[in-house]
Amino acid sequence: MEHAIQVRNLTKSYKDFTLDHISFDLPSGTIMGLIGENGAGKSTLINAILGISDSEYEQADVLGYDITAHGRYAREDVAAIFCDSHFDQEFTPLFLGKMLSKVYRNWDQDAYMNYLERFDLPLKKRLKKLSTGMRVKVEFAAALSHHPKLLVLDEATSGLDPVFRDELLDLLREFTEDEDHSVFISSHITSDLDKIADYIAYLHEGKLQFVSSCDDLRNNYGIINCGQQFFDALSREDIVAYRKEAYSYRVLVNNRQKLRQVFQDIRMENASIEDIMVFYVKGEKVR
Amino acid sequence: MKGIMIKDLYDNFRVGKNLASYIFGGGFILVVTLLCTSQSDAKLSYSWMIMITAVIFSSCLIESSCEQDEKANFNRLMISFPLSKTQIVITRYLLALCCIGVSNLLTLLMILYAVYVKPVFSPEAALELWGLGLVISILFTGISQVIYYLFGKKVGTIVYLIFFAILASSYHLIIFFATEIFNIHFRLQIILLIAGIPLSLLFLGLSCLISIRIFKRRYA
Repeated sequence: MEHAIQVRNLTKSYKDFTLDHISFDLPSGTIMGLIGENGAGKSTLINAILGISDSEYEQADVLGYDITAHGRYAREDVAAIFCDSHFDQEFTPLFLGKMLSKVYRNWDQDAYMNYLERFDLPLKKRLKKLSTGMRVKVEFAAALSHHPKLLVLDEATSGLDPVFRDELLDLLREFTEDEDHSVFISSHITSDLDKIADYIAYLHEGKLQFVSSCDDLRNNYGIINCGQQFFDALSREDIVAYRKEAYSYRVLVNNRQKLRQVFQDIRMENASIEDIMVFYVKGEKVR
Repeated sequence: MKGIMIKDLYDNFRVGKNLASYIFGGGFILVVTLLCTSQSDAKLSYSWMIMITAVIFSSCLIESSCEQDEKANFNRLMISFPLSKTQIVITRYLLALCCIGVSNLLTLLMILYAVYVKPVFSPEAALELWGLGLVISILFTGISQVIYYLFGKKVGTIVYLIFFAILASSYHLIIFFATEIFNIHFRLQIILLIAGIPLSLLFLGLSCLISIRIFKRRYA
């Protein structure tokens, strides 16, 4: 399968918020990071893609299945981990495996037990007695044990310490070693996405600002610190957004290579995902 | 569907405080049953007890499941499973049907006790009472499921208790006039009860459709 997710003109309207005509593709075997400020619509988009909430669309296919008509067939091969929705804290990891073995047709109890052993998790301790990190590990073990082809993570690593997060990022890398496996991950921790994502989708106030490969972001985006004169000389088309400081401008540009050729002496910083996000939200746009 | 059933059973019978409330409820009913049969107005008290038992144990399963799901906001995760929203709600109703079966089996044992061990009722009156308990427990389960799907755990429990109080008082009235009701020809009573069972099941089916609609609307 070429794409794990294919979305065309997906719209979801609430009274005070609209997810507006979202279109993107997630190629199989890749990791796409979904970024955006709080309330940008990340969870709404994830809910729509998983068929948790209804939406209007021209196309919304997950693993080749239309999410409304055949959503539950798609979900056999999808695993989701959310920051705000969990398994009952009274469950034990052992019971969780028993329950999920009746939920997923391709549940692999041996794989689940191996993950529990690998993560050093107790079998019979209730989840409420485990640390936050251990609970997330149980959720990862549960998510990976029915051999999903698509892993959807909604802020799943928030609240975890850097060591734990690094361990989980390794797990995601391992997961996507298989060409059929894809990950769609929304996170505020953009440094994590810098490490693992192949693509970044940026959502702002319900609108998808861009979907770009991380290589393109690194190659095309840059930050220039300059004075008024240089700022005026820049082509308006190259400026994504700028921030005026006391005696200078910080400008996010999206045509780094071209600018390098034109202004050879220019000092240009690399733009991280966080920089791009902050400029889009807080920066001023040129008219 | 089996997975959700197992989860709901775990929530009810493997979570300490929920299990404790069942044991306490069961113990309370046992003690009151024994006391009722030795009272002067045994017929009235015992009838009331049987009907209440049938209703409580038929309809209370949803309360604990709803509480546990709300605590963990489990519904979002559950809908990401390979199940449709309709299947999720139907699973709860199938489990409720099992509960109705078990609770009415319990009341059947209580009835048998009141007929053969401490003779309070004639077999005919006991059969009528049991049938009435069965019908009302199915109806009340249908109502309570809709209440919890509509209001959630917190408000749902308050509304449930209000409905239950109204029902319990009505029982008392029904049983107060029972001497009159009992005087209807036995065959007619049985016909009414036999008709009542499919009708109440039809009502439960209707309640299921309403709950599916509520659940779908909540996660629309």
